[in-house]
Amino acid sequence: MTTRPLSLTVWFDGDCTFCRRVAAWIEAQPKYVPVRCIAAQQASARGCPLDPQALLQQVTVTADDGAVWRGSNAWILVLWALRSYRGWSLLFAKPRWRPKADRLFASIAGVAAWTKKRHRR
Amino acid sequence: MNVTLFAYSAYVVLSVGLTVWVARTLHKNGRAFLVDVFHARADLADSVNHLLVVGFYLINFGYMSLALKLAQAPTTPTEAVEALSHKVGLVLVVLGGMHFFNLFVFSRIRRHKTLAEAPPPVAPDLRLPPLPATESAGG
Repeated sequence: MTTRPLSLTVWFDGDCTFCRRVAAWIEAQPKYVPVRCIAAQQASARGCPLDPQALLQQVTVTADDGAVWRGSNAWILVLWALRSYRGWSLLFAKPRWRPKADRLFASIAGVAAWTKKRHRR
Repeated sequence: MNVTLFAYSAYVVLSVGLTVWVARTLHKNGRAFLVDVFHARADLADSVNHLLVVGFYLINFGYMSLALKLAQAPTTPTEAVEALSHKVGLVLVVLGGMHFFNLFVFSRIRRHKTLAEAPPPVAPDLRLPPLPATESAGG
């Protein structure tokens, strides 16, 4: 694990209202390390080498040193970056809490997918 | 009159003694803790330690003075001892509460520091070569 400060980028689905709202919330939080939220649709334009389709399927966090976190790991890392939620992040990462955290993040992803479908109709 | 005066003086002596004892314990044993929290800056730790002890003394002596007066003047030595025991017991409970409050403050300060230094709790799923710095011009 590096101790030098990372700079994180969160790739979210820009077509999903709920995701945009979460991204705005993240940007507004006080942080330990810099975090930017960028719509995954702009990934290639922003020089992200990851597959854009994969980015849309799961929340993905990239660090400037090349590290990539996906799904629950990405959520835990974002919480870790936020001043008010680092305690939760460390808790969620523990083996005992990890399954509960996975379920929580899966249901949040479910809400996102549901709102997206509703807006499409 | 003599009995009341005895009760009052014993109360003052006991309470002051207890307060000084607890404050010194806090001062002595809290220091190592604060030095760690303030990144080994001993001057800052000593300063905060001193300020905490001053607050501790003020609250306890303040409470002591307020609680001094006995509602009923004791007439026999037995009554005096009972009244004394009641008052000193209150002082002890207040001291205990203050002591735990102090510990709580210490642990809060320390928790903030450990959190600020915690490394990422999850390992990356993938490692790419370092990404080119993308402009942070918002879309």
